[in-house]
Amino acid sequence: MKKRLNLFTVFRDVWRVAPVKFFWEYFFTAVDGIALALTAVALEKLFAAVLLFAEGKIFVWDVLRAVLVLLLLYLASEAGSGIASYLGETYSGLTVQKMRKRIHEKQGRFHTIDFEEPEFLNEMQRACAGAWQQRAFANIIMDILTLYLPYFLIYGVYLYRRKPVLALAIPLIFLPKLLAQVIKSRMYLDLEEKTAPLARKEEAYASYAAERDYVKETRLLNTVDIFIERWRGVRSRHDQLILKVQKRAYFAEIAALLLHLAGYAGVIGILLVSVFKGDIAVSAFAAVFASLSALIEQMDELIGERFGELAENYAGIKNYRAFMERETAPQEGGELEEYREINLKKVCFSYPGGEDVLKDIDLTINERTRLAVVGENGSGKTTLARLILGLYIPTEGEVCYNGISTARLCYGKLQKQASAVFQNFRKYKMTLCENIDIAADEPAAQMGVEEALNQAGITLSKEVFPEHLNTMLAKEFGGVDLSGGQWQRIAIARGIYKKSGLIVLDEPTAAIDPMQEYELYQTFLNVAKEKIAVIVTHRLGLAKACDKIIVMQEGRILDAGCHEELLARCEYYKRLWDVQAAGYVTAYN
Amino acid sequence: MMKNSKFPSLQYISFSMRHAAGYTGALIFLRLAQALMPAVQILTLAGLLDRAQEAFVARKFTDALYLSIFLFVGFILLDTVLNIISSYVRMKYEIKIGMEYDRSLLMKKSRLIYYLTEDQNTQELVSRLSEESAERMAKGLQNLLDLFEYGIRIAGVAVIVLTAHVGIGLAVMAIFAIMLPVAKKCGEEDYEAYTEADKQMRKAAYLQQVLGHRDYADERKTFAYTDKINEKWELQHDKGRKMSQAVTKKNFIHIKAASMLTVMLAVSAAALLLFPLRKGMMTVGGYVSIVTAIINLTKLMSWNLAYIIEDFTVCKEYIMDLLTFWQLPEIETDEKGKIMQSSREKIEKIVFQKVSFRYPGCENYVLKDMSFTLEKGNTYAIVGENGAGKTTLIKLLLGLYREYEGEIYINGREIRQIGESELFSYFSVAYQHFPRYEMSLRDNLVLGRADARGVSDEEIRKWVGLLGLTDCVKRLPAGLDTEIGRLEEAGQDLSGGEWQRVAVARALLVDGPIQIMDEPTAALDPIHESELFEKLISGETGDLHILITHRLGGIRNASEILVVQDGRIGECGTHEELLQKHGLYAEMFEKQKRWYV
Repeated sequence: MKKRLNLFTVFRDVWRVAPVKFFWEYFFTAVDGIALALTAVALEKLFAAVLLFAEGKIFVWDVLRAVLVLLLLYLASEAGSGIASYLGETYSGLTVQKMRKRIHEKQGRFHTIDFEEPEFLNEMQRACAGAWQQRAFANIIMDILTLYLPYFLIYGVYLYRRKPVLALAIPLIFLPKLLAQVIKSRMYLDLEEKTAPLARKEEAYASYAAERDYVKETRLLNTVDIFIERWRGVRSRHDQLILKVQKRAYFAEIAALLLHLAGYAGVIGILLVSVFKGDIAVSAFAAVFASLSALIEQMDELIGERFGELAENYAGIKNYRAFMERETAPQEGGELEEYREINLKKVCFSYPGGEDVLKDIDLTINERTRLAVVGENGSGKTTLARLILGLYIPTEGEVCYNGISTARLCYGKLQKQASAVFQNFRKYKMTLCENIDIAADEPAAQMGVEEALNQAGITLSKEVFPEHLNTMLAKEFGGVDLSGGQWQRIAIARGIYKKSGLIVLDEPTAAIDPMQEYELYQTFLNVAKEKIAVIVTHRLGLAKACDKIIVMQEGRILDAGCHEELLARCEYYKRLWDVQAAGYVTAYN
Repeated sequence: MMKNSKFPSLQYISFSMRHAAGYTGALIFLRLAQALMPAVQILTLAGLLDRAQEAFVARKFTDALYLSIFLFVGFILLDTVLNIISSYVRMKYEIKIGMEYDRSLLMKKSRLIYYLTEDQNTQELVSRLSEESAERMAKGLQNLLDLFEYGIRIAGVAVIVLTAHVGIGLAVMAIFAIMLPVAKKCGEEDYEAYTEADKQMRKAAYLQQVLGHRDYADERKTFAYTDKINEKWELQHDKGRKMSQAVTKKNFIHIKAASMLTVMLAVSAAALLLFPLRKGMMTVGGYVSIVTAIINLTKLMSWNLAYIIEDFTVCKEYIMDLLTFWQLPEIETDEKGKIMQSSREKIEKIVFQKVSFRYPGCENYVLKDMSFTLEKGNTYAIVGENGAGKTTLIKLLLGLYREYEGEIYINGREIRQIGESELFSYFSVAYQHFPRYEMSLRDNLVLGRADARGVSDEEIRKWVGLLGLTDCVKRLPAGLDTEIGRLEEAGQDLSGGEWQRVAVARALLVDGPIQIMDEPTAALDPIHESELFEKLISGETGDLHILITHRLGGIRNASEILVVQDGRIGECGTHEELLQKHGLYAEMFEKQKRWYV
């Protein structure tokens, strides 16, 4: 990871965004830089004229000519910097957009399991923060080449022609500042890295204390202030880290400032001595002195601000690049057209940094099988479903589709023929229609969005969905709020909408009321008819209607079979059944 | 906390003074000293140039020359020292004030009256305020100091010019006068357009989440929508970007037009000053140093002043938002700002009397004329279709919304007469939408206990066992003390069902007299579900239970079942009574039962 950055590629990536704009931006920057440097010459001319004028040796018109030249130069500089800055802002926004788009593409290509790793999530966060820095970095380099370099060169030549030794002024003032900046930048480099986890914690505690999703419970528990205390603790640790780095940087800066001051004093000294020796005129002294403050300002800007940003940008770009170069899931390999048989052979699985949650799973699912997975929470049902779906690749053993291991198929297309309703389904803050057709570009046969909604038991009433399919399902974007049950049905509709040979239904009715639950069970069974369906459920009533049931316990398959078989031989299953059916059945016994 | 005032921006100073008086005072003083430097420099430079010219002509070094060199260099040194000190003070100040401000925002946010947390306008306000909040106060103060500094610098130069020539002195002042309104206007437009562009950007930011957030990983992969949503994101982002670009363009034109005018004025001042020079009203040194100062000032002003004034407007708008925010109603707190703690009372009776309710800003009533009584020692089940009003009913009982018609009494007191924390002390609630607190499992469980540190392992394990979390605890590397979630490096995540059971266990550990379970069993397996319900119905904990559920099988033994239908109590009674009625309940029960026989 610690390899050197190829800055040229950064540069190339940036200018390729819009080469024509790029050219004009820096053309006008150069106009600004050149005009600014020439003002020193114009000033000297003016002051020399003023001196003669005061002695009555020339007319006022001669002085005014010098004034006019000065005016034109200033105007050119203003116009140049205005146009260049506007183009720059535009360019900046455009580049960020391009870079972020690339991050998004990249994000879509990782293993799903990667998102379970805190280190990965941190890296991702840092990469996003670093996206805009590409352009900022290239911009500074370009500004150096087109603004500062011409300026310093022209100004340096001007000084040299007055008195060669004066040209030393530029490095004398320049070097100490640069040195301090280099030292400082090294200090900031790893600050970001250290503080990212702290920032995540701060955000979490602050939301526990006050965000909408938490506030109801947090207040009821009367723990608001506990979270604020925690937030405060993390924040002060965060602040301490920042302050520590800032302090060190501060001392480096003071040292440089003193050196710089010595340089400045040297230049003034040389000037004064030269004036008395008669080497240069008083007017030249005044002009040099007047333009010197502009020079220092330019240098401060370049070194203090721009170079400082450069170092920060460098760190940001590194984070961005590291993420962009991170290995993704392999995107080549075979594709699957249909599911005839799914085999799990000695499958073990663990989440990053955890113990095995699935152990030695052997399982065969034939085509047109509706498989129910039952068992306690934490027994590994959801993880098993994810493995069958191909979201996760087993840590040991293999999952095979039609005899081909998922590890050998193209990871990016593993779910091309599969669909799912997840336990932790998403509520997209988009329109109703988008919430459904997000699942597929081409829906299952004879399946429109409305048909999918209909099958999932959503009625398109004017009250709930005032704008029909185009109703925005998010209050914050001016739309409507839905209940948990309605959201769940939308998730089901989404799952149905996508054409699939394999469908995973993970606790698909947890938030639905009984009246429609029944109808949905029938829908599931119908949807699942021509394909392989894996239904994770607590409701044995639904499991019973499936072709095969597996009973999970502590990451293993305890037993498998149809309802009657399990009821006869699996004690655990029988207990589950009895407890659940009792509520309904014993009333009549 | 803050009073509305005629000069809202002064809030930046008063807030800073309140929380970091020393640093703030020092910053103001240092700025004043720094602002005077350019004026001093005009004088020392003029002296130096004139003495040097004399020395040059006379070919002789005088004491006056040495003195002027000494003064000139001395003030440059002083300027540097001031710089060094003020950057140190600023560093300390920024950290301190950032923390204090973020904390007071968070405090206020956490104490808002509940309905505001569901109110869209308030949420937008909060999100505007929270953006880069840590830097806002320091930025606001710096902005004021910048304005102050520029004012003094301009005044300083103007006064010196005035002493040379009144008319030209006034012209210098005009420079400032022209810049001010233009820049001010830019700032105002910017803020409005910024809010509009911000709206578009927030939509884009949401899509960004869909494309990259961990929670979306499963669906993102399964439905392979990355490319599609990425296109959508680009369109959305482009829209927001172009909006802000249009504003930028307008602003730049304004700023540059103004700064070109300023340049022209400055250069004409240089031309005009030739006349007093010719008449001997000023020396060459005086002329050169004044022109130098004017030109330097102009250059500085060309971008900076426009930005500073623009910032000023933005900062002011921000403060206006902040003042609105500070004035939002809060829950009651004690004099130290702590949320009040109340001792717990026994529950006797809950009465709903002709309660009707609609959400703020909505036309339709969610609850209509609801009346019922709940008594101590009983377990009530509330059933009904989604959207029938079950959850709303609980929200009212908890006093989260207080604008209802009719009355709700707890132990004979109308709940609107009871403060939030006192009211809350009656309840243990497991919500349908439960939050996930990423912290240690133990902390998560005992969170609601005043005696959190003193809760015994035994007591925790009792509930952990009842909810079937024992294996989960065993699985975790550090048992109860394992960090759960992904905040910590060593954190372990739980499954959705486990998270929910932790939430239920937490509610039960609170052990309030009224225990409400809002569909707690959605993720419970049957054995634990039935055990939990039996436990609650047996009345071993709490005095009164309210169970909201879809699973009719589990609530047969409830003392009374209330069937909520279209905002009203459609029917109520025991399980047997309701079956006899052959109403909605009987129908629902039949439908579920069918799957088990």
